[in-house]
Amino acid sequence: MSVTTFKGEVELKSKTKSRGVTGVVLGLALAAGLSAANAQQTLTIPFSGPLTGPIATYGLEPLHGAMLAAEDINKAGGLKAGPWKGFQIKLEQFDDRGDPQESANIAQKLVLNRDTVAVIGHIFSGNCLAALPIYEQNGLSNATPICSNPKITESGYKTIMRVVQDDVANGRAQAELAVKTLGGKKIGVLWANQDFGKGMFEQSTARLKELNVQFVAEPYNEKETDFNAIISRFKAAGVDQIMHLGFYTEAALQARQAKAQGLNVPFFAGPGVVSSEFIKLGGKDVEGVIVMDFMKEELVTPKLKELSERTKAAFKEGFNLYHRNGYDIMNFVAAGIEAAKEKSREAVRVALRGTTLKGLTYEIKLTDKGNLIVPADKLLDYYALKVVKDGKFNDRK
Amino acid sequence: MEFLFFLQQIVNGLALGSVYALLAIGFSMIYGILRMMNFAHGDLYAFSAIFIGGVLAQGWPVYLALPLGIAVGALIGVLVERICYRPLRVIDRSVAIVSSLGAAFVLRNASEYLFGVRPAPFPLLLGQDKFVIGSVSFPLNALYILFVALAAIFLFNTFLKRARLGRGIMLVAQDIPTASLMGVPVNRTIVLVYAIGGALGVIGGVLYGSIYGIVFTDMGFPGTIKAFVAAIVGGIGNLAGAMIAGLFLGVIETLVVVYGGDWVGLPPGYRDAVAFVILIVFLLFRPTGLMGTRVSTAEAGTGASMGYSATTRRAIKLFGAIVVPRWMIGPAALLAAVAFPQLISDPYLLRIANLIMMYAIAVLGMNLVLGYCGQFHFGQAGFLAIGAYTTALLMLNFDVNVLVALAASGALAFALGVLVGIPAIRVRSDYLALVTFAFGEIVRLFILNSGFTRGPMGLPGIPVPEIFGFKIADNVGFFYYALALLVLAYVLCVQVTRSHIGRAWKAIYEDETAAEAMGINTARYKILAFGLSCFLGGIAGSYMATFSRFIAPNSFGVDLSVLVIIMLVLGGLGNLWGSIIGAAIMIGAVEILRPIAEFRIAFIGVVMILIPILRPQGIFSGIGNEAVPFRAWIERWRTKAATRHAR
Repeated sequence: MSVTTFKGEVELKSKTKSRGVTGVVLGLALAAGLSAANAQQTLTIPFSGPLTGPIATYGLEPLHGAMLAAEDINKAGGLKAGPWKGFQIKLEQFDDRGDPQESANIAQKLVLNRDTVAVIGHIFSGNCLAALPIYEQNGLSNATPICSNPKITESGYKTIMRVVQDDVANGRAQAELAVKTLGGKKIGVLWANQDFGKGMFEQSTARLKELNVQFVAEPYNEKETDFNAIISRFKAAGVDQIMHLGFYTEAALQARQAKAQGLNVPFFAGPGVVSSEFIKLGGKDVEGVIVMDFMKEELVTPKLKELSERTKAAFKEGFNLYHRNGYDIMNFVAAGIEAAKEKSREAVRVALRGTTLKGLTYEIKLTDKGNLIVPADKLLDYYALKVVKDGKFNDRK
Repeated sequence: MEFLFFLQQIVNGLALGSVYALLAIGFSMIYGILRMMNFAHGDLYAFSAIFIGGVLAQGWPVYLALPLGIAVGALIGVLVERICYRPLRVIDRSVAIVSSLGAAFVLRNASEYLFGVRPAPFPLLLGQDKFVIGSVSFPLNALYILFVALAAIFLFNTFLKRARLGRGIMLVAQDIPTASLMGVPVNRTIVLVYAIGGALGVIGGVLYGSIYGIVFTDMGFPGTIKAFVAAIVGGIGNLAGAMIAGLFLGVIETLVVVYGGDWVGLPPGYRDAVAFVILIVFLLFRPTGLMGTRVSTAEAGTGASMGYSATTRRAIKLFGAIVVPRWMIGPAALLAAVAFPQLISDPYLLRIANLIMMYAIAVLGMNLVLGYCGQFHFGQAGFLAIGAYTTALLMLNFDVNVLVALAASGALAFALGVLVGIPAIRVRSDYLALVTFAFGEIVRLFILNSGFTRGPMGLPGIPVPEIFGFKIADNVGFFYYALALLVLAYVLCVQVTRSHIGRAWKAIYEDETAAEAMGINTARYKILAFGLSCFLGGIAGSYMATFSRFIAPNSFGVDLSVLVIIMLVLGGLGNLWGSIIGAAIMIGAVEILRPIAEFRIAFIGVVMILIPILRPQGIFSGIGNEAVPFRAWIERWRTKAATRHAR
């Protein structure tokens, strides 16, 4: 088995052919570089999410981010402290195709391995909710890099760790930015008719109501490609801004169709859209689209630049929001394991709940329910507005 | 102003409809000729469109990329025909459905592997120009598409009437044996139809891509369904009708999104439901379409009515006898099942076993309606959803005991199943498949768009069930709960199929007209088959809710209905044991094959193609479906001989 021959090999196995080749090369290079560390032991961290199928992007991007983090940790000599001091980290992939039933199956399988002390996953809120009861029963920590449904942490599960902003934070922040910074007075809200979109819709429109701002809200179903009817409704209603709450594929089409219909109002997209894929799909039609990102360009650290280059080299893709989440969550999990008092799931769970980590763009610290702490008065500090210009996301001045 | 706005909506609707129209024409042509629904069609054109997009991105000129892509589409069409359809042409249609779904799985997986999983940009080949009259703007690209559609209609009709090959196609469409007697090379002609169908699909896919500027792996499905609805509304085989219906569908859909909320309180989330309602209405009241009369539904039989030879019967009896003495199987299996959790304590394996039993209950239900009665039912997911949501809502909101919730789920599913069975009196075969599919989708859309179901957020935290004071909290508890339900379901199925009901079903399966002549009230028995089938679907759904403790509408998509049918066909139509085995194979394969993530679905697809070809009667030979390859072989030999003779 490769585990015994190349201890500490980060599995850079990738999902497509082109990426596969580089992955193998990198993996080999890495393994060669680490041959000296052969005597070290390995701690396996399972990663579960959709890795094949139409929504695989949302699983692959955080996975790739986590791989880079694991690579960094291993290069620096593995885990720095705690009962697993000196252990190398190995990420193991479990594909659930986005099916909640499969996520639960995977959870059931993972909890059986007593050596597993923490899981990274799952990706969508439905998958998380289906798997959570099983993790809870077995006391196995699971850290999610994307799920933003408030229900996940509100239900009182002890094993859940969410390192990203939930719908409440994202939705309210987007509403405030739409009104206070972008000056929207009558906003056309387009939301994806699925759990993320609906969560965002509920939170952001609640905030809009508090701010006494008019809005028209329209849901759209996933996989739809023609939004002309909704857009002409917005046009007739005289909206002065379109607020998009969903994912980048539909957002690109909507921005294009709004432009084609001559609805020239600001198009303001939420966090599901911050991806280089958005620009690739929309081309010149998404120029001028404003997105809610998590990091101002001027604050981009050399570390982010370096990660961006490594992502491009290893996976042939841009370093997106979800890569960042993946990178952060791997480091967060590692930090929790390092802080554990003993080699047990419970010790890791307790440690994770108490861990504070300086992430790539914000500080990660959890509430006693496992949700990310986002102070209400500092809410807008977590976000930055960017605008698409010349095929890139740039700071909105 | 208001009127101009309305006019603009009509234009928008026509633009959307033009895409449906083009796809519908392609569908109508193929379906009108072969009357065989090609489930790989959507994936075929998605694959080819993505391929063309990729080639164009490499810098190839359009005039090279397009013909290349069309050739690829035609080739895939031919391969699908050769591998999935030809060997099964004379066998029960549901078997061919599974093999073509297998081809769709393989194509989708290949597309993901070769071109990646992300949606890809596609050049806006038709531009985004428009001309404006007054304040109404007309998009030019939609006009181009309509032009292509008209050209396709004209060319195809001319080809059918004037060209020798075209006349051959017409003859094959009328009657295959006669065509072969008349000297028409049947196989070559059918291959040609598939090639044309593939090519037309690709043209549709490319135009779709160049209007929206995007192509993606599952773009095939939504477009195909709308196209099929348009093809039926227009009257199968009536190309002009398909085009007009496609435009009509686009307009209606647009009006629902724009005015639905204000006029009738219908949120835009229901836009797809409208197409399905139109479909159901048309199939029920005007199955020949708006203007078509060429195909009547009565003609499109189940294919099961084809007799089978005495040799075949004998072969089946022989093989059936070799396996194991029948009486031993039941008690032995039950004993093994009861002991299973004691021997295997691995909760993961128990969980998989629980899932298998849950699906097996739904598959048993499907077996009654499709395997015994021969009625297509593509909406089992809708009934699992009804069962799951009834149980979950009752337990969450009213703190009802799980057994009461279970009974309520079964009863509601039964009642709605009877409702769905009513169309079966009027429509058959593929059309019935569409009606039931549409019903299943309407259920899902209703759950997705309703407040009391929490819509897309799903229902988390379903309470732990308690039966006679015992809390069912772990996999062992759920194992015995599932086992009890499965045994009851199985006994129900055995009893029903052995009774006069089962005999009536078999008679209907073999030949409905004859059954009616024998004095069987076919309508009543068909409705009963649907009711019982959906009842078991509801029971399985109820179990799912308590077992998963979280349910959401996206778990009940068409994939689930398809999965249930695949399980049924793999296990064998009309074989109750097979239903359990089929469920075990599909659930087991998904779990066992997880380490080969990239090829998991393709592998399952290959199995779905191969099993129907090698063992069309399912892994276990069934009593309901005696068609075996031998007969296919005879048929092929006959056709070949006839063709040779005619030359």
